[in-house]
Amino acid sequence: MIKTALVGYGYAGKTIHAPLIRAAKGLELTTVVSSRPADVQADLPGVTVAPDLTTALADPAIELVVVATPNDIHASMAHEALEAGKSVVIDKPFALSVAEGESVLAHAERVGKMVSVFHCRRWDSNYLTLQALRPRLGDLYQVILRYDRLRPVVRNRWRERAGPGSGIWFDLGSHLVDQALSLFGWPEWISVDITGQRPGAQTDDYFHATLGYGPLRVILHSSMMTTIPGPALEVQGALGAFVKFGMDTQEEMLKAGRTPGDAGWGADPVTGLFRPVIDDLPGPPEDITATPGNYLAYYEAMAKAIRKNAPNPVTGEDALKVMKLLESGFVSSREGRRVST
Amino acid sequence: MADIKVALVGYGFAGRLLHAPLIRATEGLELATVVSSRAADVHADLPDVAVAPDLATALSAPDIGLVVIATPNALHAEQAHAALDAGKPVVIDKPFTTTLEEAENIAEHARRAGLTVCVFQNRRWDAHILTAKALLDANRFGAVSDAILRYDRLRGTVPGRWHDLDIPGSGVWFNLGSHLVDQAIHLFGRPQTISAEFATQRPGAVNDDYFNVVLGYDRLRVVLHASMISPAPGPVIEIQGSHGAFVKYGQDTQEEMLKARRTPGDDGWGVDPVSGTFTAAEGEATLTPQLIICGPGHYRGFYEGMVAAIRGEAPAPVALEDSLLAMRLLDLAAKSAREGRRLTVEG
Repeated sequence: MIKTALVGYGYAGKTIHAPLIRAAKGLELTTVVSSRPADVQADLPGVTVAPDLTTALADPAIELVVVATPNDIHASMAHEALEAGKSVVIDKPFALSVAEGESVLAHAERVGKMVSVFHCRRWDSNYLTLQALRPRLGDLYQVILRYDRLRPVVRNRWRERAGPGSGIWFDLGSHLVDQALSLFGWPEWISVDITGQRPGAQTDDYFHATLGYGPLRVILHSSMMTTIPGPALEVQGALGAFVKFGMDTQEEMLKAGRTPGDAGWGADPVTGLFRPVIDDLPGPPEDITATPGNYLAYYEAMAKAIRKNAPNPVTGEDALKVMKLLESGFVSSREGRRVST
Repeated sequence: MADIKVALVGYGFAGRLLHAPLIRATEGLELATVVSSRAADVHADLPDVAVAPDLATALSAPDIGLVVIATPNALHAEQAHAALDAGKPVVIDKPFTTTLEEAENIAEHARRAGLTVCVFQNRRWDAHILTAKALLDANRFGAVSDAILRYDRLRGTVPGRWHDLDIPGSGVWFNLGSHLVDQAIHLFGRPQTISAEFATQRPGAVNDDYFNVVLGYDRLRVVLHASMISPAPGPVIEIQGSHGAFVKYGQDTQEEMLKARRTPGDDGWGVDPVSGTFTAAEGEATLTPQLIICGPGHYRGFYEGMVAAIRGEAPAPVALEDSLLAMRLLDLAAKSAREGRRLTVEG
């Protein structure tokens, strides 16, 4: 078993990473770094609580460190863990900037350790379903990935306060950018409008981005003021279209305290709709049952990558590309121009 | 009151299928003359209507009280000036002209002549736009944050009509974007910024056949979107606000009814079989979605408004300022797409 230290026990650490690490074959959650030991012990009685990362890293049995802190300290935590000779998983987004991400990757190379970024949404039901259906869609012309929520009141949490690494473009944009990059590769250009819409917004809570790939346009869209969410996924191709409403269910299952991998895990009750093109006209719609989401696959692949030399499930290089596009997106929005990538 | 005699200029798709039947079905209008080089086609459809070989001949008839221009976009300006010179009020099919300068010249000419010029923005009378406008006017959305207007089609093959040729006033942005721009102005007013991405997607296409245009209004964003390769079209309208949202799929039915040669105003005219959905929000809670039957669509509303305007009973059904703004936005979007920049809407 790979002994794992989780750094940060806020929303992501507590709700997402801890249960996934505990359920993943090959990993053992032995330590949590948190300033709130009582919270951790209440949830995880057998797990050691360390007051700071240095203390956790002093344990030679720890092989993997999972960084689930606010974005602004991802890089410094990763450097410290690498220096101690540990492999590192970093919650998305990788870091605050491309430069920070590059320095983490250079460090990893120097010490010969692995860095992986938790871009879990490659294991969303929608994403997996689209991958399976893709051969039936033909050449693609437009793709719209949406992440809509109804959160009209600004919450007092670091993601919604002003400051480095906050805001929706970093938080949710990083998911959609990673999905776009892993589905379609590197775009020729990006054009983004990022703004704060809600009364009292201190950081951005809306974005609308277009990625250009020859004749294909990939639109990434997110708003916190969406009473009727649009489809999470809309893909229009020469041979057919695929439209899927509803988000992956795993985050809600985790919030409800379900154990990853239990019966029905990741099942998505919302069927997608496939519309073929027949003789230049839309053919009869076909319901497509969604492939269950499977975030555990990420951590189990991580265990195999550490132990069996299997490929890193999300490489640092991939995550660096996400950072590059996030940065280009901020430039595009601030300067009001299309940015060549 | 005597009917206003109308000369319709152009008997292509728009003249024949949209304007002629709408004019004939509007109380207070009489379609007297069609200007066309294809007299036989006109006579076959409209045995009681005179056919003039050119605009000058039609304009020389003193009893013509309205000229409707339904020719290709590049001819709009010259023909509108000729009609104004002859002292006739004018309806121009959308888009107004091919450039803002041409449109401004026509507006100035109309002011000087004291005549009404009005652009046929029939899609303000689409079923879903009538309903959206009523919901906005009733303040059902609270603060609107997001709106999306879409015009998706599946036209994978380029058909070779003049809209598809590389000539001034062609392309999907001018053809369909002009509808969506006008709808955005009608529903939300003048934007402060515009940012456009165009694409030429279909094999063999020489013009833009895709657009995604963002209009910025303080915190509100209005996205106008069209693609010709959409086997599964998105909603035609989506409005999201702090107190509720409205989403409607399916285009207005009137154009299809006109193509099927149904008479505007007959039983069931403009009825839209696809309901929209309105969902109210209270904080983060959404209430039970309500089905909303939209419309019915009512394109004759445009021509009824023209009759009232010519008789001096009401302002023009589409304000000329709106159509000048629409022209400016059409131009600015093309510039934004070309230069890859977000542009400020001056004035």
